[in-house]
Amino acid sequence: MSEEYWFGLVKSHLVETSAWARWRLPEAAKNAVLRKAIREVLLLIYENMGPDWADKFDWEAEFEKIIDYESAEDFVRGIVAKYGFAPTVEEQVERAKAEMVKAITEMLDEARELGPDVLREVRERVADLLGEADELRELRAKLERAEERAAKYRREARTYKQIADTLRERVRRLEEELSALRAGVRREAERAKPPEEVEVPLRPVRAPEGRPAKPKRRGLTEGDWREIKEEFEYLIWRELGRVPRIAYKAFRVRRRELEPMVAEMPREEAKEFAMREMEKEAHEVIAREREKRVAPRRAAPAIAVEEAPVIRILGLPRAARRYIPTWRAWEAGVPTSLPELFKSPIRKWEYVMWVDWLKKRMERDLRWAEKVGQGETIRKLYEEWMRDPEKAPENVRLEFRWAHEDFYTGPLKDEELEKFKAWLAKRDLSMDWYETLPEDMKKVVRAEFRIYGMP
Amino acid sequence: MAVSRRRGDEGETARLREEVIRLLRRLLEKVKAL
Repeated sequence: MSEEYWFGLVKSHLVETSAWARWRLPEAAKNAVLRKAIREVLLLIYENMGPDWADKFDWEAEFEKIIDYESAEDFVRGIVAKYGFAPTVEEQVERAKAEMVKAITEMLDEARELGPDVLREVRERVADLLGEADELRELRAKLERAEERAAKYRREARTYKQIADTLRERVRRLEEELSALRAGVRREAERAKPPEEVEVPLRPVRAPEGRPAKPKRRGLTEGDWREIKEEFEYLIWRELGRVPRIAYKAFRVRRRELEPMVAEMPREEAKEFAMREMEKEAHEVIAREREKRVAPRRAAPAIAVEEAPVIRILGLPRAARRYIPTWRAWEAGVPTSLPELFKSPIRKWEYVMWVDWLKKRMERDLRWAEKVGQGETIRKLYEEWMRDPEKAPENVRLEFRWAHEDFYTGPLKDEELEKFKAWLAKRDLSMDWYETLPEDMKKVVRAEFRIYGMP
Repeated sequence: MAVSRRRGDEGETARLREEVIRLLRRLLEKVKAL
């Protein structure tokens, strides 16, 4: 499950609970803030708890509070504090950066005071650190790409975490090295006002490890191509909802063309280039596919009016019209569907079933909630719903009734028949009419009868 | 003789200092761009 999934889930929950409407932000800003917060929290979960925990996290309940925060960052800080997460890798890098900038600026000020030996030492070290800074920058770019992918595909979460951990560790090391250098420079700068006095060679810093510059890889690895292919397929899937066979062929052909072009490029550059080219290719495939799908579209066949059973239904009293299938809704006003019906308030006679079901659901939720110290909150929430079903969000009611789907929509039992007929008659409907309905509609009628007509 | 060598040393140190400052500036830029 991806960022998109959680975004949809949380947003629909906020809309349902009317928190969305209460949120004092322009519509576009709400979407942007929510999306950002979801991604940050998802990555935090990946970094701190591992990918599976994303399912156990109560996205809906946690995100209800987002409307009280000024920004996505503030909200995420709240989550970090609540769950005791380590700060995000981005935040850590930013903090380390600030420290390092300060150290370098101070060294720049003091460079005028230093004697030749120290200067030589500093030169060596800084040259080394420059290389490290370059590598870190590459790593950071890699992390950003991994972040994109982890947000899209859960299986990428582990890769993301690996890169994040490496980056964290490497930044920490660079910061340490810089602050050691900084300490040495400060000591010498204080001592070495006249240059003659610089006798003690500067040795506070570890000797340069002499990491030999690795020859940069050229061209792309099989893994890179796989990654590019996945991206390519994703782009197409996002637009078309499927990946047509011609897409695979297009990829193969284009790859053969690109391979000699990127063979001599440094790897990162090659990857970016190939990614861009494949993106173009993907758009071409999408355009071609769309064209193909539009062209043969013939006019929709006219509905055979005489034969459609729905026309018979249209001749029936108004009360019947709500059972007309959605595709004829324009004729009949708002139809009733099972989900709509199932979301309706819990009736008094359903209360016992409701409590039984909630108890089971609570047990299930408590198993993970207690692990993260949220047991009490969850228990309270459930107790509130048990006392007052009105307080439960409508998706919980929906879930409850789906869990008893057979009970509500199952075939009529003999002892129900009389009551059912009477209930229909009260609405000017008859058993004959009921028999003309398709099975799906019959289910809706039976469910409505059982929720409202039984007791 | 001693004086000129001293001057030569100073010249060398100044050059070294310039280089260190240049390197530190580059490092600063790189770290900022991180």
